[in-house]
Amino acid sequence: MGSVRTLNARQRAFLEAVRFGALATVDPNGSPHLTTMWYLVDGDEIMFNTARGRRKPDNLSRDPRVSLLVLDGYTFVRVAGSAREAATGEAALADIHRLAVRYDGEEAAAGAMERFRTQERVSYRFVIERVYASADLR
Amino acid sequence: MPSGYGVPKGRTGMLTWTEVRAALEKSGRFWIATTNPNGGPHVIQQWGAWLDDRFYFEAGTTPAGRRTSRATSASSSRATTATWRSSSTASRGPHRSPTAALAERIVRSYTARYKRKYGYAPTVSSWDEGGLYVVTPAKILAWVVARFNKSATKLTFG
Repeated sequence: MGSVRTLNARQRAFLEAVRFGALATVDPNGSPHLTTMWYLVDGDEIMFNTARGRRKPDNLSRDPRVSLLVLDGYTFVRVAGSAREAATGEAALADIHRLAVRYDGEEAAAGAMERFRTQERVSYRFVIERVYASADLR
Repeated sequence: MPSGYGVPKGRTGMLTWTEVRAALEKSGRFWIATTNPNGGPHVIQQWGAWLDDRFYFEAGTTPAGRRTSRATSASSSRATTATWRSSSTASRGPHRSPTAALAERIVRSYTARYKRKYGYAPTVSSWDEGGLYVVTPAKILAWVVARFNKSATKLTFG
């Protein structure tokens, strides 16, 4: 079965559960770069957040294409698209707080915000252009 | 690790290569990022084997399989608990003709991991026409998920 462009209900529920994602971008030399990420499904988009100065923002400014794999055992959803810079400043801090609450809870998120506020956070979003999932989620 | 993750500068809590290698050798599922023919990134989960500090995996000899010869980044999660995550940037390339002794060891590793549960085991002739790839780590970032800030460790290889 090939990829499709939209999530079905089971795929969406799988992505909405708290799981890490493996996000691939492309390095300047054309090699892939893989990081474990917090992410959030927001409508038909995926949002993630990072800090300026890291590899991902540099890579995405040059080549916005991303591939995100989320899995649990052999059950998986992979989505792909082109990421755009969606928020900076206070809006990006609000996004990372939202992500921190999703993954670590309110108390831990509140503690982490002190550190996040020392960074130049930036949020990215991508419209899901391709979805490929394990058979049990199709 | 990049600044901003809250990882202390001291060595306390860091992982040793022995610990990381043990986790990689035990892992049965690996995440591999490749690039598509159009240059875009692509992530998959893959079976494989760590032997002698190298990662071997099968990708077939189809166009899709050959694409994975460009793999340069891999991650590992250990079983369902995902206790460890590691990634490596590596030199890469197809390993088209392993010696018989190496092929036998790779077969044994695959068999031990995957035969009983999934009924899969390659043979020593499985890669006579190619389809076996090797990743030699250049850098590994490793941590224990439950104590990321204290355990995050970067290991580099000469």
